[in-house]
Amino acid sequence: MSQKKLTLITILMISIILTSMLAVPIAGAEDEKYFFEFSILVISGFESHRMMAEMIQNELGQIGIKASIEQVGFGVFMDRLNKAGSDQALAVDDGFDTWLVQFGDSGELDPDNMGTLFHSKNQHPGWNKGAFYNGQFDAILDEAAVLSDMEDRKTLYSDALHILAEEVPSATIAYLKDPWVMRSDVEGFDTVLGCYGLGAYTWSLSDQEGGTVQYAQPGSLPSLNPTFAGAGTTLRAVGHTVWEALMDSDSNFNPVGELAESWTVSDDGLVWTFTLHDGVLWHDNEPFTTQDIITTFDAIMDIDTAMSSYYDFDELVDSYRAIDDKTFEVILKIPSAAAWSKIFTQEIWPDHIMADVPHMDWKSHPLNTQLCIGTGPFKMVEWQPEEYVKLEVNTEYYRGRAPLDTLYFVNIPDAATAMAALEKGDVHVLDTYYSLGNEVPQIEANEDLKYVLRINPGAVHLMFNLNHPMLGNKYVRKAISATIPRADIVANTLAGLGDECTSFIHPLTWAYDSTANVPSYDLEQAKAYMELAGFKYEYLEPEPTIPVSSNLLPAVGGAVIGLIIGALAISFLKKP
Amino acid sequence: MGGLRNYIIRRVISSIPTLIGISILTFTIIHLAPGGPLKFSLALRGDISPEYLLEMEKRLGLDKPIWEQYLIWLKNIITGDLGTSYIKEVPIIDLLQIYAGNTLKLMFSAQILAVLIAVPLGIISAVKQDTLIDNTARFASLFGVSMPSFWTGLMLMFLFSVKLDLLPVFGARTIGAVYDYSMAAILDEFMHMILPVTVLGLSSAALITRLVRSSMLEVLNQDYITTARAKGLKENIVVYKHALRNALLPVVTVVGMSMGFLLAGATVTETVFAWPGMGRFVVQSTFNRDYPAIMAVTMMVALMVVVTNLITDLTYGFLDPRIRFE
Repeated sequence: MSQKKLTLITILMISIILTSMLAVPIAGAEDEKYFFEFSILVISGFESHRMMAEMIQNELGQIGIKASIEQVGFGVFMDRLNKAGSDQALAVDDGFDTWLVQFGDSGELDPDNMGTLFHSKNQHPGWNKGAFYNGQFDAILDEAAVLSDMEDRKTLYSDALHILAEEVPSATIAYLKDPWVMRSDVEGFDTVLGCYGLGAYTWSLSDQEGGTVQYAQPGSLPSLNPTFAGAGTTLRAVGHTVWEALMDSDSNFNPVGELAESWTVSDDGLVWTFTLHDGVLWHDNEPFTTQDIITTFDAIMDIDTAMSSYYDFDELVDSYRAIDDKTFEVILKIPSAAAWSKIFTQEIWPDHIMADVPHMDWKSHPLNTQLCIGTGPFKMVEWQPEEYVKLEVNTEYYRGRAPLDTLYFVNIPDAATAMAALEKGDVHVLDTYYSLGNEVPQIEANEDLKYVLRINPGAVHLMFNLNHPMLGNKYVRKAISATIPRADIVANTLAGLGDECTSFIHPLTWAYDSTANVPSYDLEQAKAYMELAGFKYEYLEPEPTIPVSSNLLPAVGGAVIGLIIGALAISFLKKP
Repeated sequence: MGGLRNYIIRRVISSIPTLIGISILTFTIIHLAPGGPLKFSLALRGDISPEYLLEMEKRLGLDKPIWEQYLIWLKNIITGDLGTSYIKEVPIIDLLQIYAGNTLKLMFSAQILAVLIAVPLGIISAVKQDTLIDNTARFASLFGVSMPSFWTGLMLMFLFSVKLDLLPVFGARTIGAVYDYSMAAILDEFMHMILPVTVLGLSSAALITRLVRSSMLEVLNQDYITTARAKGLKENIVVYKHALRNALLPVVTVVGMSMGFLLAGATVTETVFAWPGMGRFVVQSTFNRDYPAIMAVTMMVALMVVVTNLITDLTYGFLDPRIRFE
């Protein structure tokens, strides 16, 4: 065979192969079959959430569900949630099919807070945006809320958890553990914290008495009282360091007293009586009394004050009074086991400063905008907005002075800058908000640094819209839940800093019931649920009668094009 | 001189419609943006009652139609009232005093540094065209233009602050330092300025260097320069007296115009170095939909650009005697 002929045949073969290859992807696209599709709404900017959504999307393909991911800004996200809540709108009508979100720290402190997401009374404008309704679940929560016996409550919440595990109004995904990165000499961080503060009261430096700790966080404080600010930066800097409340939560999210030394609840759950600590002084040395609580409660219950806890108070609090200087009584409108977290964790303001200030002016009062005065273990001494807040130890603190002398809460917006400042020793602790999970190997390699994992009681959920024609079926929801690759999500999107979440309350909370968990990742189980929902997997298989029909036409077309190109090449090469 | 005064008055008057146009545009855009101040500050609490939200809307005046809100804002701003921040609850003017001062300090220092580096480098580069100096300067300026300032900032920070421990990592001063006018305080402030000013100035310097070089090259090829050289004038006089003055005209334009870009650059630099300035303030205000704060900052920047443009135009007259202000 001549060299020329060989070249011609080679060209011909290559052109046929190439054009046939081009045809294959087109044929493949025609083949894609799925039962139905829905969208996952994600807030843009949360990279880990996007990655979780993509991993869920990939797995869902295996059980014949097509998921699309929509990333939107926070404002649009909220608008679409509200539209779904108010108009039963699905994603195509600017509502949602599902939304992926991490709930905040306080979401699951008391099991009663399950109702925030799933009780029918909290449908729009509440957080039950997906129209979940289960009368039995509602009744159990209502009943548990008025009980004060913890064992009885636990039994009821166990029933409620079983209902959620059966109905799956959301697919639980993961619990996060956020690393606090710090210098090696900083001590006293609790790995499990109540949601209401950082626990700075116990911090110390290992090599010295007293000393200064600089705590960096990525944002500034909008204002100084958490009841107005609602910002984590304010809460972390001055909540429970400067300001205090009647109650706080302990490491297992149980209620504990703060300004209240003890409390009792009447049998009907309506009357809460608090006995206050002795010797509590405001930072300007005025004594703390029940009048301070009355002045604060008066302000919160007045809508003119514009405190965000107004609604909780309006809903729950009937009346309150000082029995004497050290005893305070609150009568609730309805029994509420969760009242402690909604009502009694509100920061108390000083009566001797605020008594004559009109409620309208509380928000712009210097205690909120310049320098706050509280009863806590630290006194605020300086605030440079956008730069830092300086606190000094309160030597007269009624529970004994804190180990540290001085605390700074410093604003460093960029995580890389914060890490540089920590390595240099300019700051001592970096907040969990920096999300430094990926830096863990670097931290472990540096003997000057260490990290403490904070267990975050808020979980990541994929919330369903039950108005969706397919997602309204509980077996479809169970199938989706069983398709979520929780272990892979924790390993790949959270750098291993988290736990799989298969329960609707955190395993560390007192009402946890391990028998009421949803199944973890199991594709066969998921397919079985889909079959129960009426989907037949035969539908997804290629049609047997014309097995190659969809591939044949493009392939033949490709070959013809290849032949034409080959013929053109031959005639071109044949020319002298 | 009367002509100059009339020119300035005319320019000031003609800038009013520009400023009003900018204010209408900004006002409309921020109100069209999804969400609102209430949704953003209260969004994480799902159980807010509609009654409470309405009360808050009324309190902030957000229940009125948008044109009415704009007119109220315009009336207030004419009387010098910039409003109160929704989020921080303090008058915007107080906030601007803190943030604007810090940002202007950063911007002007950076621009001065940029000009001090760029003009001599551009001239040398042009005069010594295609030599090692020229090539090095061109490479450096290309590098400066291409590198994002957050990257340059972090690299300089790691080198000079973390590894060599010569400069502070972040902030406008040492945390907790007493802010008086002693030598120690001034030195502390100066040390904190070095890195952010350098980062911000370098990217601007890179651009100006390239401009000075090309502008000088163009002028150096003009006939009158050849004539000057033919007359036997010294090379220094030819370059600095005859060529530079003419070559600076486009440079002045760019230096003036770049103030707006510099502010954008300052936002990044301020974030990297935790510098308490206006750039970061406006970003946070935008996230929080703090309308009065966004409006105040936008108007201040617009005003600044208008004023720098006027100064730029006036500078032309001094550089080029042929330009008359009439």
